[in-house]
Amino acid sequence: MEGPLIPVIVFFLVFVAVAFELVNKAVAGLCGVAILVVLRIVGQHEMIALIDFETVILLMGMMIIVSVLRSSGVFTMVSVKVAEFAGGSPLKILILFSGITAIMSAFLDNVTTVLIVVPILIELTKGMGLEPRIFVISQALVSNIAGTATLIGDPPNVIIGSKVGLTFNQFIAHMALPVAVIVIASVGFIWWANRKTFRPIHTDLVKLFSVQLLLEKIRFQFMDRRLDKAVIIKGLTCLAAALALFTTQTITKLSPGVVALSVAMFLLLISRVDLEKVLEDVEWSTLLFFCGLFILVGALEKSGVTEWIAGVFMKTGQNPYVIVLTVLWVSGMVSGFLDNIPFTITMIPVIQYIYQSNPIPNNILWWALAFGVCLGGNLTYIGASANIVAVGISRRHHYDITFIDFLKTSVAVTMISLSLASTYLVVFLWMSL
Amino acid sequence: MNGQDREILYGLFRDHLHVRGTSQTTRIALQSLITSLRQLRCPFQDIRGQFEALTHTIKNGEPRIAPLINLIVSCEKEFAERKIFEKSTGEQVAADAARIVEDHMQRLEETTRRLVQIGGDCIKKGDVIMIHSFSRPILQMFSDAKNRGTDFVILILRQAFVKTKQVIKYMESEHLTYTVIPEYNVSHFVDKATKLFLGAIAITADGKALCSMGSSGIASIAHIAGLPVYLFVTSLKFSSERSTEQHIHEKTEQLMEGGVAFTQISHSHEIIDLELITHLITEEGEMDCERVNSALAS
Repeated sequence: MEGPLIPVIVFFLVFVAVAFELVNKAVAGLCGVAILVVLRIVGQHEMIALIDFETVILLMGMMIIVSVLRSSGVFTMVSVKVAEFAGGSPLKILILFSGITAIMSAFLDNVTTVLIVVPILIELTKGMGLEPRIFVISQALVSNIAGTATLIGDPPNVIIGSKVGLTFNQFIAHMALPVAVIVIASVGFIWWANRKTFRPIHTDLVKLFSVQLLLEKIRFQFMDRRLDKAVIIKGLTCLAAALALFTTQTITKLSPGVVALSVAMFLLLISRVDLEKVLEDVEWSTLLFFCGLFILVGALEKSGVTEWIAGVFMKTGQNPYVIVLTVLWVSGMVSGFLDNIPFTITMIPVIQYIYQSNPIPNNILWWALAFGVCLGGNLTYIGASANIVAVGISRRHHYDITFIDFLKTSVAVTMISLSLASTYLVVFLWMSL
Repeated sequence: MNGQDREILYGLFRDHLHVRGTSQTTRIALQSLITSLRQLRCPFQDIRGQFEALTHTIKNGEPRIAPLINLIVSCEKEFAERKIFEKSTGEQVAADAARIVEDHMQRLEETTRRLVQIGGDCIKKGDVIMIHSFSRPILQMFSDAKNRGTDFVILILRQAFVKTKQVIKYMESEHLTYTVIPEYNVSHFVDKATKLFLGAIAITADGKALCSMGSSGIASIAHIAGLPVYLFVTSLKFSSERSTEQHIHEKTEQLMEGGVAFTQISHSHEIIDLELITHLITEEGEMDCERVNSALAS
């Protein structure tokens, strides 16, 4: 069967099923693929060829490395140390936790970061009589922003990097500095908007005393098992080795996916951790969802749909500034309401078509897409997995964060983030032309 | 101090009591007091007021933690004798006050150490000891007895797992022989056990013990079955308040379990009569009724 109608309908149904969580996203994606294969819109061998295995193995490798490190307790230990170092100062708690969340999110996946940081942060702020919600929201937002900085920080970056061939160093060189500025500006805004919450406590003996009791409780609660020093050393060494190999990609000619999976296998070999437990931590449904999406988008591309979408974008004119800002803001707004992974996969062939007719230098359109999909995910709490997880943890601790509660902070932070990203991209484009 | 801060503080005390026991909670509270005095940066003339507000809050905790209160009262006396709040600078006040609190921590450690020594003598060869306490001194008694070569078996009455887990971890680390039995299965084991060991937060002025929840039921069953009940407390746990003044925390909560919504009322601790106790052991040895009364009077 030829023509774009069936691939578009299937893709739309999958998108709706995922957006409204009607079924598991992997099931939705693979059902869509099954329909396309049964209707012979995509051939069986063609289906396999459409999957970008580079993306899949990079994500799988990083998930394994993070799982081993997480089992060692090192991340929890770091978070508890940060809580101790903050010493009960609300402002220090915001700044230090944002710092640690930003660093962890840049190199680990955002959901893992939130899963580690948020429970400790809730316990700490709740015990101090502070309102935990704003701290939870701040860490979810920071994790999404900081994940934008590196190739491995957020799945959309992994997809863009793998499909387009952008290296780890290119991501760091073009994204790290603006992301750092956006993190600082966002944390600064959160402080300013809630400045009454962040009053110091060192003049109040009762609060200081409560904080000490609280820190002891947190130490006991979260450090209630022996740290596996051998696994920590091996895990951190392997993570450092993976980062070193990512940064020397142009010399070694090893793709990030090959590096991540090889290092992960080596880590499993030397750490001798329980493989079954590690495999439980790998997000198989996400990986299967990716495979399904690659095939669905491949079918759209084959039937000319992505070319048509690119044409819509091109109707904004040939002005590169307009195109870059359109990609950034459209990606940002759409990612605020829809899963940014399928959107990214859909947008990649669209951007490739735009490049064919308007070769904007220095990969700026790709950076615009990365900024848009990653930062835009912060617009609502359904825009990014880390937001959903953070809100879920907060709810389990009896601190409900409503859609509106989240919006009160997230809209402003997203506008600040996208505005700063726009400024950066415009300046970068002006210097490149 | 506002009501919310007070509730938070009392909640933290209860959390520590729940999983760490009274001695550890007292030690943690004194250490927290030292650290917070050193961190305090308030106008010099406010220090005394802040300290008094804090100690007043601690003394009226829910529940009242007798050893902590006794040590705080003793600290206050020493502060007054040494005119701590009349020093010239805030740093000097904090340093001198912290030193006095440290001395009191030493006193706590010393009395606990002596209780462990004396309590260890209560463990005999072939004993099957049932425990309903995770207090550190009782656990250390087992280690001491084992190190002296005494063979015995421990029956751990399982409570909330967060508490029982601490006991199991300790048993494992000290290679002690133990079996875990559910708290509600105690009647099946009273004839097999030779002793029941209990701990308490306080011995009240009217001759009762403030204990963790479940203790009174276990002690009653043991008493009826003729199983000797040992209660281990340091003299620091003798309270000047009656059992009705121990401020046991009552919690009312709305719960939803298995699709059924209901209101539940629960208490943090309970009172047991010393008549159920066969042997009351302190760091000064076994105490009979007369000695208990004289200790309470003093």
